[in-house]
Amino acid sequence: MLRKYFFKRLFVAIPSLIIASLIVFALVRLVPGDVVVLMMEENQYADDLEAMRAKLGLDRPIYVQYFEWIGRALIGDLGESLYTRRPVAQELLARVPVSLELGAVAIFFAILLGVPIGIVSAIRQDTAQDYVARGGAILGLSVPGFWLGTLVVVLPAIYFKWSPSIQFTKLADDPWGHVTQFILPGLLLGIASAASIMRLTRTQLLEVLRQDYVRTAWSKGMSERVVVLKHSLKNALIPVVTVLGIQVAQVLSGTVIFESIFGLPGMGRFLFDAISERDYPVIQGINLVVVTTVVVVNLLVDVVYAYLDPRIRF
Amino acid sequence: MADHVVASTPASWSEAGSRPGGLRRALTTVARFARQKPFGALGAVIILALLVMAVFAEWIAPYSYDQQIPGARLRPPGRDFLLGTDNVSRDIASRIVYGARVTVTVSFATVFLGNVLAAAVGITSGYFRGRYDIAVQRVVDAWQSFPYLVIILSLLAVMGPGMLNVILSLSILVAAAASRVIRSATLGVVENQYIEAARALGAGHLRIMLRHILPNVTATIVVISSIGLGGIILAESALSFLGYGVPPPHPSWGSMLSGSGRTYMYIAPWMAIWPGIAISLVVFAFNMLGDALRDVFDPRLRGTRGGSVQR
Repeated sequence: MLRKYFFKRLFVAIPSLIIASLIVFALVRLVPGDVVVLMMEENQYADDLEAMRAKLGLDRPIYVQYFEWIGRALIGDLGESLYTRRPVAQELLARVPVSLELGAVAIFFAILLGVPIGIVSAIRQDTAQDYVARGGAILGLSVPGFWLGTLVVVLPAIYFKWSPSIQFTKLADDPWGHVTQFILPGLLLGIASAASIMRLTRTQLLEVLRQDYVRTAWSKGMSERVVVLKHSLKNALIPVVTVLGIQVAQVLSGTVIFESIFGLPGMGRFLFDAISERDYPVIQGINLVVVTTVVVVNLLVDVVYAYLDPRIRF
Repeated sequence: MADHVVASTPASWSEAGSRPGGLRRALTTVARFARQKPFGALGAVIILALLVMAVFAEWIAPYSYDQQIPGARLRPPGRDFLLGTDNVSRDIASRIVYGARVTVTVSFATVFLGNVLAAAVGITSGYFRGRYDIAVQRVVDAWQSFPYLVIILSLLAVMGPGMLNVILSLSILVAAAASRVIRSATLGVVENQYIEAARALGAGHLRIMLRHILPNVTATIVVISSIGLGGIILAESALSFLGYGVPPPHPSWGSMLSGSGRTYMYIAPWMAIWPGIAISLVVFAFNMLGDALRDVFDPRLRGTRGGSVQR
């Protein structure tokens, strides 16, 4: 059954991925006017127009261009950066781990904050604690991350003469410093996700707490701790798993901002630099990697969800 | 992704607002909304203030947004300058008032454009179903798989920065997310007998969609729009912060936090504080109002966010 569901889900994911790759491919060709002329005017990326066209593969029919591009991408060749002149795949290999570390720390904090606050909010529904938690969650969804990042860098520097390091520390040089540098940006990046997770945990738990079997557990005289943590929470947290799929896309968006503010050399920062340099092969490569990540993570999340909750395998 | 439906009793007054009635009736409805959803009402008041600021900026702001006041560089907030001045002697309060214009223009234009597109896609998709629906849903899936900042920055890299391009690229993403919700609402409406009756009377597809389905999914559209607005404002400010929003000297709250002013924030923290508070307050207001409207008009949408655009 689960295998059948997996293939069914895969059948949905693959066309989406193909369409996404077409969108990425079309990006460069959306430019009003001649992209090559524009690029030649702004940056000295090649000797003449024809050389530039050949370099971008723009001198062949459009469908040939697509299949050649996607075919190469499948074997890990994403072209060459126009700016650094190095293979895009090689550049990404050095930067993806930084973004993954940042994203993992963010998701860690999101769960650490979101789930317990959601539980308290649900079991103390309509009390002061609940209102504070819910208001805090809406606030968490409202405060822009780049502002929090700015304040965290600026304010302590003024009032405590201390500011977080914006110099990247490599794992090999200083393992402790490497790990700790992700804590602050990861925490800030995780706040919005924590708010979403808190809200979902709360509504789900409230739903479960109204179920008959929970009432039975209460009437057997079990303690609140056992009823909530043992009987209710497992069922309530299943849908929360699905949020993680959505959060991956959100966290990847956030890396663009937080890597720029905190000087982390990850994929988001790389994209930002590539955009200001109009380095199209890099922009395409990053988009392709990012969208594939999101589609694959969502596929896995759905399969895990189906495994945890057999009811949804329709 | 499953929508998590929470049972809820629709408030009895939810229909009152849609029925034609006098001023008195409208006022009673507003008063009842304020009593039952105080936070939603607070949000509405803040949004009203934002709109007033945007429309009457010339009259409200003591200075122009690009006016350099001689001898008033980096002044802290005080009697002369309510929120202080920046590194090129401009009044921050005035710039925030004018910045409301950018916020309002971008967010409302985006939500309008996005939802018109979403309604066209969502209603046709839910009405015709079949292969067309499957194909459209795969395209929507693909758009939604992109982290919003990644794809929008890439689009802007190609199209160039500027307000119009920000609106266009944001509305495509808004449309993708909203079309999903409108499609599922349409699927429910199509099952009604009055659709069958209209068809029996010889109404064409276009007429059925415009006259019979659209009015019945309008409440849903209003709710997802109001929930989505906060996210759009955050996205616009993030793009402006990264330098791809509305170009200077026009003030956007996001761009006030970036650029050359950043180095001066260490000696003038008020430059960093006020624009952020403005963004947070307005987004908070839209989120509160959106949540309240959703509870009132469409409790089924609970647990979903109108737009995929958040932060």
